[in-house]
Amino acid sequence: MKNWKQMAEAGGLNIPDIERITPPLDALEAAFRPLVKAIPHDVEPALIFRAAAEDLSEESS
Amino acid sequence: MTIQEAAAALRARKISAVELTTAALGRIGALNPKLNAVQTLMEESALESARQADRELAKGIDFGPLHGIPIAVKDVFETKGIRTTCGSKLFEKFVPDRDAAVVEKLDEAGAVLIGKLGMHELAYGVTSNNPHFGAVRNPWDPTRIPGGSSGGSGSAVAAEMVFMAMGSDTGGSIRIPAAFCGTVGLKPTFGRVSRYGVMPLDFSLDHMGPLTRSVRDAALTLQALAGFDPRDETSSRRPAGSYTPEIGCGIPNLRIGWPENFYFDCVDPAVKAGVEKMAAAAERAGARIVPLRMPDIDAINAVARVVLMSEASALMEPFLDRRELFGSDVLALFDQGRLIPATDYINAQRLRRIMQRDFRALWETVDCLITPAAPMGAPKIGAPTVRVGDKTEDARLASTRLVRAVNLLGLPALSLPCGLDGDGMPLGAQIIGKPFDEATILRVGAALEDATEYHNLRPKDL
Repeated sequence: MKNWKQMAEAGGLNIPDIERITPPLDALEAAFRPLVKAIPHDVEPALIFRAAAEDLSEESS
Repeated sequence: MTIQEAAAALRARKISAVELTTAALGRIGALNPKLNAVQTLMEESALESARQADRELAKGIDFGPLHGIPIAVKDVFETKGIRTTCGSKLFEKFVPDRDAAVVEKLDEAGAVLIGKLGMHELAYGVTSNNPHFGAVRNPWDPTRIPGGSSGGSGSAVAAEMVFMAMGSDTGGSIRIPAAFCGTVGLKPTFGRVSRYGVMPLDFSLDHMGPLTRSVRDAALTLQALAGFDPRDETSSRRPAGSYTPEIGCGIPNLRIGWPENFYFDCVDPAVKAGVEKMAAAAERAGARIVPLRMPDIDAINAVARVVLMSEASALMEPFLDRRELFGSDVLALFDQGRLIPATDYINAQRLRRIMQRDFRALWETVDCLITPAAPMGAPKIGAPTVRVGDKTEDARLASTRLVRAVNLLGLPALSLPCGLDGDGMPLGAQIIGKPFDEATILRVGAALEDATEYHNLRPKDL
């Protein structure tokens, strides 16, 4: 598991009682990390998101 | 009375907009001390709007079914000259100089804006137990939460203070209060309703939609709101559809997917029974129920949480050194978000593309899905955990478990009442549709309302 306290300190974040808020992050990390390892290399992020792909072509036309 | 019924009565001169508004103000005066649903009351401007609506209707000027109807909006929608707090101490004195696009559209439709509604702080939670403005309470049992974050919207509609209340939904915040308060709640497709002038929680997950007493009322509200808005970069250029189902509409040959995994794995037995009754009613109305395997919804929920926490914390970063101005629950979420690396956010947005493709394949076999909206009835105020069947769960995660994935995928979804639990609290079914196919889920919802009586259940002892 990640050392959230060290990460916060390295990032200059002042988060009092950090141990109180990290258990949900540990659970999320356990669910999320295996998904990341399975991403094909050519998948781009949905940073401008549309619910239907056709909208992208509409907008670019 | 629904909006459709009130609109008919207005046009038949059986009632006036001023009478409807006066009755709404009276109801708020009587019930708000108990429920705390309305945060800012706009009595004078509402009565003036109602008088204007009466004058217009008398002259034959008719802006449609919302004309002269008392409504309210969550305090996340900017209102020109009217305080807009977003349920936060940070914005307790914020008076916008513009109206949100949704408020503009409702004004153009002639609706009478009667007030701004209580909510979970910064729309970041499901309880609406607000540390700055007080807990919003559930009309069915004031010791319980109304859900959130649009808790005031659910409470106000269920208590019949207003005919329609606008909410926002980033991880279930329209559908959860709709389910917990026994109202209808519609989250349209991402891009269908403008986000312009709405105080954001999350750039790529926020959706705007109505809570109402009937599905057709939700549909006619969407009709007034839908459309392209160049001021919102994510607004869709697709033309709006025709949303309001006709009276007695059937759903012949419609294929409704029934998830065999995830959605019914851990729910109150009363929830499962309620959704089963809705599915049976759909079959009687001509639909075909199609059992199917769902993609990994737990994985979609995990990705949605990474996106939500990253974007929300990025948005609030400039304010997070003023820690005393935040409630402890939302501050914890913002702090958690600051610990998520940028690489994880980018990879979450890459996974979102993959999950969108996987989900798209479902629509080749079904036209929509039916699921529960929440796995249980409303928890008690202040309860950190909740019993679901034979398990104890974190109340927030349980409340969002069945609704969050739809936000990541941007799909339209409708919550509608499907019965009561053992404590007499309302339960919600969820209809999920294809992108921009609000017309289908609204038609299914209307057909289910025509075939059942759950939408007529009302809170007692108010």
